[in-house]
Amino acid sequence: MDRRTFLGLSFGALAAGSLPGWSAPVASEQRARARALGIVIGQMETGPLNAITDVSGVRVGHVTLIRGEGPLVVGQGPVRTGVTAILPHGDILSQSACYAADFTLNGNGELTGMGYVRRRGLLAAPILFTNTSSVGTVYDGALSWMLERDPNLFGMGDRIEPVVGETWGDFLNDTAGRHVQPQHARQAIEAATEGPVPEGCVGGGTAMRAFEFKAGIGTASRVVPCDEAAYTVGVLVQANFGRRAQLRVDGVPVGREIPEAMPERGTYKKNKSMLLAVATDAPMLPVQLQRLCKRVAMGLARTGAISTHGSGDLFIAFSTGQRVERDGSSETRMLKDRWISSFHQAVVESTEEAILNSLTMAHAMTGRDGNTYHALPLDRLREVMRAHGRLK
Amino acid sequence: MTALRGLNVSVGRLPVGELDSIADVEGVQVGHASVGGFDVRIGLSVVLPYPRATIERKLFVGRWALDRGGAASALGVAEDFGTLSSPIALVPAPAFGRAYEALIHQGIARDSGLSTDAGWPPVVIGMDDGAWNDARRVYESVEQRDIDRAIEAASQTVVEGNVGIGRGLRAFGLRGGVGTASRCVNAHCVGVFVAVNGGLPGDLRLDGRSVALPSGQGNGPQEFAAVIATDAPLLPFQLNALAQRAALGAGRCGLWNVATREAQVWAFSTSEAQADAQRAELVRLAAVDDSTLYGLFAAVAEATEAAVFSALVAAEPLKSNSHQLDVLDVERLKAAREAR
Repeated sequence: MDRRTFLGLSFGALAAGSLPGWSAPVASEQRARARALGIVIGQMETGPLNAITDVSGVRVGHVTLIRGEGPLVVGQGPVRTGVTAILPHGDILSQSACYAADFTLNGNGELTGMGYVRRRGLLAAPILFTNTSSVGTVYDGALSWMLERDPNLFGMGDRIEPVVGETWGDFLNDTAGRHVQPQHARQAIEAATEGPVPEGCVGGGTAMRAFEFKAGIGTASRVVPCDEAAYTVGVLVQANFGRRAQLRVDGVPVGREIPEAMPERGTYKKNKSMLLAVATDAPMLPVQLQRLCKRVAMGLARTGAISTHGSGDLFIAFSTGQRVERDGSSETRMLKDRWISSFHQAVVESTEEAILNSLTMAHAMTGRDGNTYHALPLDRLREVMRAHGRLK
Repeated sequence: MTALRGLNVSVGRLPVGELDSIADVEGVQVGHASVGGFDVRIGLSVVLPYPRATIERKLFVGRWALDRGGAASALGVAEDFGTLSSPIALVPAPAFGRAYEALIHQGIARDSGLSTDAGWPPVVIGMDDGAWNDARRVYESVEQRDIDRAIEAASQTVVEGNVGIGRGLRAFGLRGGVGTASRCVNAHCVGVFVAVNGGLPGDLRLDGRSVALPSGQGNGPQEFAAVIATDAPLLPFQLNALAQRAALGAGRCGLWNVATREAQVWAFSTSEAQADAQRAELVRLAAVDDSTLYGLFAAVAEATEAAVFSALVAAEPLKSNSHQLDVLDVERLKAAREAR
């Protein structure tokens, strides 16, 4: 994705393209996904899109808010934020839920709705990622969308809640100005589509950075062959963590070899967060999905991150392999535990690659007070990987 | 017939199973073994979740623990995988290691066609029955064969009171013990086996009414343990919730209070034996609707309350050179029942 200064909103897949009437993009280097650069993570095959949407039915939508530049004026901007929505399927979620589980690697963050997920073992709402100050409005907007679709949302003794997570993007964004509105959550949900997922500086990932490079949203997938069927595991990450010297790509200490292009101006907090959603079409029970969630931590560790005290490293996993009726189901299915290790590997590999994609797909961005996160220079990345014999 | 039922005292409103015991859940058996002579009054109890010869024996399990509970093995598998493949042994805490070893040996000796890990990991719950037993004497007294004896003695007839682990327990300033009860919900059964230990003399309640007790004899160990069995097809996270409701039942009769230090409840479903020998990739599982699930929650609370009282009325007075403990006066129980 080219480096651009957006005025206004971009929706869904359109965020990666150009829209008439928008201001001219600022020329910069072309961004690419890790695989397109010749970097291959792990041994397993990816799905056709190498995205969470390889899990059939899963939809992703972004609303990206980029407006203004110059000094911070709280309430006016500059604005660098957005919302990313993940839906397990296109039907009414509260009437046709998916088994789900979550895992907290480090708790300094927010992911709403986990009471319901843990109590019922079900995901019955969209998952939305945004910036820290916008959790309430995104929750609000998502809930009004849910109530429209299912007026009986609170009707069966249950309280289904939107799942809203956040990471802190104050270095570029007017966080205190709270520019995300409830309708932006609704727009992200309504823009959610199957197909390729825009990555980098989009949606909830707009202002985020990882390893002190610009980052944001990333995704990846793996195919898990079993005896009777092949299943898919896909992840989507909102990456906002890591120190430069920690960064490793496929085991290569890339961060130590690219010390340049550090963030400019201002002060920024060094310890931040990661949100990640795992989707699979394998029929799994909550107790199994929680095991997948835990393996996200291992993918994160492969990138060199350590999950700091200040992080909200919160993961959720869901299975589209079967629908669960709201009042319980007469029958359910589970993949036998003997197969689960391959899914562990799929989660670890996908997580590592999605984080890498969030870096290689993000362009440099300047935000409030002229603060700038630079992009991971892809030519330098390829040079370092080549020097270590890791380029395909 | 349980001791409480023998007195014609009822607890709660739900239909009671045929035996009013955990053995109403098909396949479940309980066995006890007594250990020790005049100076140690201890024993151990086992709950067998399935007939011993069953090869397919991975059941779903859930657990609740106050303050993470007391000594227990198999937590890793129970919490991470949600499965159970062992008898559940309730033993004096000093005998924990020997009980574990005995269960491992049992697992290897039985069903020799199975791999060693098929019956692994053993579930051992270690309870503090040190109210009048010296820990060192307990340690010296329990042997592996005592576990074997308890397993061999297991049957559908669940003996209550001061048998097995119930020999060394104290509750509400009285002699505690083991008790059982069951309840039925929509063609499903839930059964409870409780080791009644802890509780303060002034706290005992029946159906919400205080049971007048003489002032107690000081504090003993404040902990209890319970095992829940159900034939309803519940998943691990639902069994966790079921186990919590047993704690609510224990709290209802005052067994669980602010002085409780450790308490743990294990809950398993006999409905879905996962056949490891079977190669199929996917397993089909039954599931219950919400009204059954919440009905089972109510049933387990009620059955726990009943099982606690059954243990107390089945207990026998303790008289030794150094200790004397009364038992619950049935007339006081009936007086509480009639005080409406």
